[in-house]
Amino acid sequence: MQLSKEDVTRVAALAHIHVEPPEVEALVRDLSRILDYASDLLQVEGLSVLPTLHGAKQGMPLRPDQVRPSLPVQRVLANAPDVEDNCFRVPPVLGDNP
Amino acid sequence: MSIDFYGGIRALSKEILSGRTTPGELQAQSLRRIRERDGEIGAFVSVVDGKHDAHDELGWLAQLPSHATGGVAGHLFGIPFAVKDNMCVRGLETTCASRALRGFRPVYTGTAALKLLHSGATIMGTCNMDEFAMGSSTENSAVHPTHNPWRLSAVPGGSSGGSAAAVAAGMVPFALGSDTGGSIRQPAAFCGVVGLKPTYGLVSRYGLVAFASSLDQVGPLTHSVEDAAIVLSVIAGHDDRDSTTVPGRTRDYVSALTGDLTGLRVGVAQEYLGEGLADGVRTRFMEAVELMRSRGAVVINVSLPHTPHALSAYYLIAPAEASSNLARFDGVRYGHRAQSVDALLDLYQRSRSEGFGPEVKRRILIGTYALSAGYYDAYYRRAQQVRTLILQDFEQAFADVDVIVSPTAPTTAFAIGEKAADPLAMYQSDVGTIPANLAGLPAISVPCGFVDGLPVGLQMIAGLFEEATLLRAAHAYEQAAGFSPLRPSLCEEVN
Repeated sequence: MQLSKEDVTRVAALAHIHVEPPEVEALVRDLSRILDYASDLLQVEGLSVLPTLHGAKQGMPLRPDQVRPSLPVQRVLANAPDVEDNCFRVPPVLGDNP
Repeated sequence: MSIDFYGGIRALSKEILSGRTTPGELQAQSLRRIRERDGEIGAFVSVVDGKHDAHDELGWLAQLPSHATGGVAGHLFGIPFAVKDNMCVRGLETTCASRALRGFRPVYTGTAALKLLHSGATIMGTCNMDEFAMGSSTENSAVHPTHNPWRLSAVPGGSSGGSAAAVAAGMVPFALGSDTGGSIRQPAAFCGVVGLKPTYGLVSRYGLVAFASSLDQVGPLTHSVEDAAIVLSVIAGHDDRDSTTVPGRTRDYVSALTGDLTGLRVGVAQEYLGEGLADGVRTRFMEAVELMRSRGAVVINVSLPHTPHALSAYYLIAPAEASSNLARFDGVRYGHRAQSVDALLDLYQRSRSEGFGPEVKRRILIGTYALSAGYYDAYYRRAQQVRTLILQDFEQAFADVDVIVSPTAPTTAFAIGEKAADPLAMYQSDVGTIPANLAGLPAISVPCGFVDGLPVGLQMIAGLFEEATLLRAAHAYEQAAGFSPLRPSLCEEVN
């Protein structure tokens, strides 16, 4: 499976990762090789089976939905790069390219 | 007085209970060994010197419902340990060996570490790893590479390479690692220690930085199977902060260790012995099987026909889940934030680009591709269907056997730099360990000899929640073989 530079640029945009042109070259090569390797999956027979989403055959029981104490705001914000009025501060959203 | 960590947790505990040593002396001994040896090994990312904030968690813990205390947990009182650098311990820098999390200090402690602290164990620091647990050599660390205590020019394996090297070099008696595709077992094999990946759902991942949530599991790296059983007895159990954990599945695993292999049905699958397996590793493996047979085990050939597709399925499923899990690292709430950006989308893209290393970017992009419109059915869904077939293979095999054995890794520790430029060659290192993760099964690596001075690991896999059987088999083999504990010549006592 040969990816193009455009494929890699598109996927990087979806993943919100900025990639420089020299990185794109290397990624085209590496990702194409990985997908080539994985192409053996296309040959597997008997794929009428249901997909397995996780190893928890026992199911995933949920806990009761009860109100419990949460972390204090100051601890939640302790690692934030930028804080203002008990909120995470970010650059303006308006004017952003979609 | 010189105290040796190679003799195991029970011996250290006896020393404390008899008054011949104290938790403080063991902590000091651990620090001494770290200072002496870690300069050339590089197992640690951060080291705790003195009392740590994490111990303040205990007051809070006392308010929680029933917790694993009592008999076996008592062995851990005063025993030093380390955690992989992807496990949150309050106040202790946790970076996942990534620039993206440099300086991050968790505001809570994860369940497995908390249970150990509650048992009185002493945290010594966090251990190096491949960035976000993506790698098999601990070379993909943004901090520094880790060196194998058996040969400094070789890798320790990965991604829990720092945890394995710290234990192998006698810096701590045990460490926690995480295993998504072999990241506890493969470094255990490379470093000559025991590494246990429990059943998916036995140990809480609360506080473990998620890589691939349908595969991740926390487990111990130790000098012996008994030590693995002691640690597992403490960290296992239901936790309502991890919905995959199951109530009523835990026990005292130490009492399962009978030392007896008589009648144990041991499965050998040819699919694990194919192309790429080094001759020396094959020889050590066959010797291990013969030893088990000679001690009364019944060796049975089993077939796991979909094994050749496990690696492909894994390298689509794990990156797909990683691409989702790692979306949270966007420079807003914690972690690295790019400077001089004036729009939000730009902040996300630049922060992530600067924060993540090449292998993490590769996997996020492969995962994003596999999940994207038009490719989901061809790659991701297909990989999950193959996962079902692999599960069915194991279900059929375990109708006839108690454990399945294989070499843990196809080779011994390779040279630093040997596979760093070739992601696919690196991925091959996990070919024997990945199937157990895909099926959620418990698996362990125990030392089974050497090839050219480097340790070889024997892997055993058991059925879901059959840890007692797995540990009994591994312990009985370990006793019969007499390899553990292994001490690298680099770490001989000089005083």
